[in-house]
Amino acid sequence: MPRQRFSARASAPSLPADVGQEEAPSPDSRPVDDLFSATYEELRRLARSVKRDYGQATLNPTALVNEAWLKLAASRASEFESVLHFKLTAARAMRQILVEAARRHASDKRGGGEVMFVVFDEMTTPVRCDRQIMALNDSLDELALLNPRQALLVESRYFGGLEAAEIASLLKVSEATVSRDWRAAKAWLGAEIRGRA
Amino acid sequence: MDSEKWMRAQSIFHEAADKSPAARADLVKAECGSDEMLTGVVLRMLEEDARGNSVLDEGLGSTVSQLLDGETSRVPHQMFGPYKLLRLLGEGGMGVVYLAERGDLGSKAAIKILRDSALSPMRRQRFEVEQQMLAHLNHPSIARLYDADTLEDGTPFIVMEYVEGSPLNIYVERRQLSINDLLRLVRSICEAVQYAHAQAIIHRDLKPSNILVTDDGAVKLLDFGISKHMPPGDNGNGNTATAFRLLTPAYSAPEQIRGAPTGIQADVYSLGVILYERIAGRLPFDLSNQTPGQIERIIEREEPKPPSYFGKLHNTASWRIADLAWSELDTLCLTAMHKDQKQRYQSVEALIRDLDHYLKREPLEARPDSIRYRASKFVGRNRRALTWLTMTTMVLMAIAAYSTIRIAKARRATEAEVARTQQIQRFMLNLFNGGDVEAPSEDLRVTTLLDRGVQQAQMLEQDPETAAQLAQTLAGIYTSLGKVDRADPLLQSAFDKRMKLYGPNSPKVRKR
Repeated sequence: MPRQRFSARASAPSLPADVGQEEAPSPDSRPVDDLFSATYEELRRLARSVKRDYGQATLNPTALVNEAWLKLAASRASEFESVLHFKLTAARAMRQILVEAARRHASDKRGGGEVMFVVFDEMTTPVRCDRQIMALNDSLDELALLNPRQALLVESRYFGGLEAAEIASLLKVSEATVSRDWRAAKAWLGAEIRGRA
Repeated sequence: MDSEKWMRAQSIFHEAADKSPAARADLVKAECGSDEMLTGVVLRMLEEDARGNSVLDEGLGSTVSQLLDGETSRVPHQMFGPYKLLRLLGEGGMGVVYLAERGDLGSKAAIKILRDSALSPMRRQRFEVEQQMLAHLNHPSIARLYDADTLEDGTPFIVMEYVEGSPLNIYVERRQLSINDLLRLVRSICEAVQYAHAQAIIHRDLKPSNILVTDDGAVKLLDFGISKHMPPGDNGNGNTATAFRLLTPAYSAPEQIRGAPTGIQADVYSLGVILYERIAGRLPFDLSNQTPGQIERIIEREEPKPPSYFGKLHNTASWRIADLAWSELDTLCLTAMHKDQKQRYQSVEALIRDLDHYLKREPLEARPDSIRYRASKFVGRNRRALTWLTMTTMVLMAIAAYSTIRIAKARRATEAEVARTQQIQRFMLNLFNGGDVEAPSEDLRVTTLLDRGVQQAQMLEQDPETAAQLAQTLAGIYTSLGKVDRADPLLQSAFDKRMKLYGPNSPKVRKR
């Protein structure tokens, strides 16, 4: 039977080129790649089981990341350089999971549209959070070209729930620098998202 | 914008951000001059900053809930490439199987969606590559794999040949096969597995429900190599949990249950259990109502009763098997199901040969467990009954015996060999004297000491030959204590070290 290729998936989001970047699989990046995959899959699975076990309960990303850590630490702790390294990986995995989910929502005509509003400003311009996530993702990619460390900061803080102190030790800068960079990045990204979403 | 301009924009932004609106505007004008782009960026940033309700300050919680909620329920409505789902065929531990039809050709296929399993984008590629390998399996007794992919959320699915048949157990029970017909059926299953092994593909989850038999008695094997794509379980106790969610423990080899690396012998084991179940009329172990820990212990330690023990009661009426034949069936099953991978049939081909021998009424190649093995089993079984003192004596005797043999050998060999032997002897005695740290407490088990010894041995820097001998010595003691499972990795490491040292053709390189 002739093999007909078909694909039911969206292409993977491009990630900023910076510390801990997972490129397409090459022999050298295999361990990192595996670690990322394990984290991604664990978060995904947890999100689903939380949904299944607790119905409408709000999925709390910080709790998800923590639980994923407990789970993965049991088997693969040694592969992560540190808890921080894990959180960084988890942040990236979470970003990817959400971007993919957002793309599905956006492309899903039947399911799309309803109840996905986030109050954006005093004018209550409704913005669907799938578009918001995709806009953030794109803007973050752009920021990564301008300043990779700043993009990493946003990614780990927003998607991984890392504290300022953790990020400071990760990037080897002071906490004051972290909050300055965060404020500027936030202002720029916010404006960008407003323009795109 | 480039990095430099971004730096500049930020520094103006920081300078202006905490000033009054009027002062802000002046400062931006002064700093940006005629650069309209820079002015625009800085002003937008300042505006955004002044709002004080950035999207990025809100938690991710509601976004996560909204985006990830209720995704799984959508699966059946969508098209799978050219295939449309017709109806549910079955639901198992691994996933859900649907009957599907190709819109353009009208041909049928089965689509299996692996439940609760999400692959990251990178792994999806690998999954696809692997499945493409499986798609090359072209054997009349293996259900063809047409395609494999993942849904948008990473859930893997496979499109495979739709087979109209019954699971092995149901087929056999319905047909009331004679023993020879049963063995021929098992033989054809073995052939398909052997074919896959020759293509370097291990099934890893052979069980009756993965083996369909069509009405005309043709075998079709399903689900090659899928088990490793299943998600780990959530009972939270490490490898065991993983192994349990992935596998059907009743048919899984001890090394799989342990989470140790598995080879083709894992499939040999499963085939052994499948045959055992048909002959005995029941599974080798009753695993119902057991906790995962108990199941692990049973599969790793407990010796199954020979299948004839149950089979004679169960099958006498229809099968009329002579006593000798019963014992051969026992040997066949128990060799295939041996706890120790190395004592099993070393390939499915070897199992097939013995099936043929049986069918032709020739003597089997497999032998019942050797006396030495049984003796070690005896010690293993009665380990608890023996006192610590007895154990210690035994171990010391074992050390003495090993040392004597080694010393005898060493005399014939070089001075270096003698030195090595003494080194090992010192190491062992030191170990049982409690090392340099403390005397062993009364309740310290011999195996604990040995385990500690293995660790210490690994930490010591030795020349490879000494390390190999040490490993072998420790393995010898483990064996005489009935802990064959612990002896094996040591023997393997000794073997590996010597392979590296002397090459495969040296007489020094022996498995045992």
